[in-house]
Amino acid sequence: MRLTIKTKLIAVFAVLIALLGASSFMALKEAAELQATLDDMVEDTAAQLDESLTMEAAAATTMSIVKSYLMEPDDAAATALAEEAEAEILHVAEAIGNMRRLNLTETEEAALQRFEAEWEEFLAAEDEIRELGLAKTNVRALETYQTQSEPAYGIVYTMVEEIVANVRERIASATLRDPRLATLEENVDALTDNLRALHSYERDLLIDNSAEKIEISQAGIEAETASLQDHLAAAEAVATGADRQALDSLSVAWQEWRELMQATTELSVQNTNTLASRLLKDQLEPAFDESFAAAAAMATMSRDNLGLAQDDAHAAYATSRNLLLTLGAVAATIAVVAAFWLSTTISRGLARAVEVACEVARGNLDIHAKSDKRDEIGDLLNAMDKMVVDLRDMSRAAETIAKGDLTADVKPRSDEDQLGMALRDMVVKLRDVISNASVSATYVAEGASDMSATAEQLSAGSNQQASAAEQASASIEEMTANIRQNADNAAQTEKIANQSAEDARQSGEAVGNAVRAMKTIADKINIIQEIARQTDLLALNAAVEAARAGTHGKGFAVVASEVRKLAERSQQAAAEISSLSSQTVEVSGEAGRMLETLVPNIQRTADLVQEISASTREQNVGAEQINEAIRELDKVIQQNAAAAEQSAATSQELAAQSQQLNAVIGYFTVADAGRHAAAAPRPAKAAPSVAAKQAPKKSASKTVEAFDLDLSSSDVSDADFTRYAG
Amino acid sequence: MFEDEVLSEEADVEEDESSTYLTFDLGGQTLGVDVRFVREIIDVKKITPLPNAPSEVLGVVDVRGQSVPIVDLGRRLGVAPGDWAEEARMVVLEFATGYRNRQIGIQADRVRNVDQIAQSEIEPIPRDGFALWDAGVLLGLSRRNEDLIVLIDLQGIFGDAGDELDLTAGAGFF
Repeated sequence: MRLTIKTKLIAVFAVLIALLGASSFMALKEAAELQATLDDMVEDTAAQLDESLTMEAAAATTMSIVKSYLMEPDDAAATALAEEAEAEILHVAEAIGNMRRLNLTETEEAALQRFEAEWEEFLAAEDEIRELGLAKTNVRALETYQTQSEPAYGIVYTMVEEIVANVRERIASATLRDPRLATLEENVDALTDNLRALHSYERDLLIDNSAEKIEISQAGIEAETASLQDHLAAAEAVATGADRQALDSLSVAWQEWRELMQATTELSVQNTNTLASRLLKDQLEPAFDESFAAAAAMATMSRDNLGLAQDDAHAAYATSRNLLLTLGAVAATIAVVAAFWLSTTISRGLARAVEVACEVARGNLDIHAKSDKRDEIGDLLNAMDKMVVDLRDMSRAAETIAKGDLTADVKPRSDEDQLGMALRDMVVKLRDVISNASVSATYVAEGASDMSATAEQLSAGSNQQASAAEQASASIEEMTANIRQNADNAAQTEKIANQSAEDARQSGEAVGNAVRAMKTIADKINIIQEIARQTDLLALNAAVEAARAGTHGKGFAVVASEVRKLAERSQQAAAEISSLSSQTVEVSGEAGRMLETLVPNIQRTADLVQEISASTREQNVGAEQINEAIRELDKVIQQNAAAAEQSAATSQELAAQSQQLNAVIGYFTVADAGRHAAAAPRPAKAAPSVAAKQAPKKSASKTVEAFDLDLSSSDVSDADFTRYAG
Repeated sequence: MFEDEVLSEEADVEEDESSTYLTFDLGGQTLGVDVRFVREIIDVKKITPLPNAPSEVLGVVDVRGQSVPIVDLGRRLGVAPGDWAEEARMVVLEFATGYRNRQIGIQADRVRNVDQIAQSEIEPIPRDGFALWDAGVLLGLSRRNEDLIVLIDLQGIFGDAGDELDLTAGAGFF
């Protein structure tokens, strides 16, 4: 049978749970019993105790209330207290009712009945007492006496005193003794005594409540009343006039007091308070004592019952505790044993699994993990063994690949076998890569030989370039010489132009001087003209004088005429000179103006020539720079030619290297031998992206490293070279 | 004064044969005046106009400290005024009237010459048919080459009648 860890665990836990259930059931049962006992205790015994205590207390309260209302002088308060007593009595009755509803034992029943009998007796006595107690005759008698009888007595007494005093005065004043007056005085005096005695009896009745004393007082009152009536009658018989009237009014007052006194006396005679007290002492108190004792007995009985119930509960607790302890000990023992057994089994199996896993992690695949255990640990170890075997297979496949055999196909064990899939993909990719690399190497070899030819062509082109550059350099040299000549000529021209400008300016100044000179001449000529004119005038005046002199002045007239002619001639000559000189001034002015306009033009020409000279100098510098650049270019071309030769050498070496690469790739065995040959054209068509893209890139980068020539920027072809050279 | 008297006597003597005339241009015409009345020829001077003077009197000029009135002869003779020129002169005339010599200046566009003109060369004024033409101030015409010289009788213009020309009177000739 296969005994798995799961089964073992389930079995152990089942036993433990059964024991736990048993102990729980026991505990529950004991608790229920305890509950019942407690209920009994609370519902019956405690209730009994409660009720009997209530009875006891209510009885005591009733008793004290009864005493209170007996003592209470006020009627209303007494009545209220009586009602309270009634309520307490009801409480007792209620408690008795409650008690009756409980489950009572026979003894309890008997005790209750005894209490009830005693209580009935108490109630009967109380009824009797209440009637008497509430009547309160003694109190009322005292009240009547104080409020009514006493004042009435005072009135009567005063009247009597007055009459006596009046009569005695008259007797004393009478000279002769009037017997009537004496009789009157005597009777009235006796009447006064009677009144005092009556008053005394009345007060005695109020004070003393004993039966004998009451009888004595009653008898005394009757005797004194009769005596008083006699004396009053006798007095009335002898009285006359005013006395008669006084006696009449006295008689009226007496009648009034007499009635009041009689009422007081009657109340006093009833004497209820005394009776009540006596009843209380004789009947009620013994009845109360007995009923109280009965109630107390009941309470004691209930208390005893409670003690019994407590003992029962203690016993039940002890029993159940012992049972539960035993069950717990058994369960603990079972749990400890099972835990030790299970943990040992599991840890031993897991330790073995860990050992295997560590070895696998270390790379040791020669370990055997097989186990003949038939639990989960056994399963785990068997699974690990399988894993180790699979890994061993995988490593063997990898070894094969490492040896260069790419023909083997690796089969992944499942869809999740990433290592298997990676190995399979690796083989496939390697196969692809090797085929492609082989093809590429071939291409590289071809390309290298092509490149070698190209480099040679490049070298030839560079030589041609060099000669062309030399030619250009010579031409530029010539051009530079021409430009320098031009610059020199321009400088000379500039100098001449400046000189011309200066000359023109000087000419202008000379012309200005000439004009000024001419103007001076004109001024001088004017003077001459003026002189000639004056001379003419003088000559004319002389002629006039001569004419006026008549014949004597004839010779003078001739002279004057001659002088005048001379003056006119000189005037004419001066005018001519003046006009000539003004013409000269005009012409000179014109010449000056022309020279003035000429000067800026010449200056401008000079400036322009200067500019030409400057730009020619700049040209000269530029030509020098061009010359320099061409020399540099020539140098570069020389270098290029050298580089081209070197590149030819390098590409030959590259061809050699690519053949070596082919040899290296040959290490890998790919599927079949025929495929290697056929692969050459296939990738070029099928996968040009890989072959074509990689091949030029690699060669380009290599070229850059080798020659420092940038051929990667554009496609280099033969056409480019021919065009450049031509 | 003394000389003046002598001159006048001599002039009377020679008048029979020929007279000497001072010829000058005025307003395009060539006029001739007897040289006896010519005191002096001077340069044109600044004419100081006089207030309230007659319209013929242009003003006075200073001739050697003497104020000489200048009369507009062209206007007097009804001759259009000529262009003022470089050769313009002033001719100071002198008349012996009463106890003193009176001097009057006239303007000339140009003074030509002092010529002797014989009486025979003087043609009369062709005034036939013009009854109203007062030719009293004209002595006659004299030909010199192609030009005609108009000889003026200064005495007739400024002579006796000239007495009225009193500057102090402040009135004109008319």
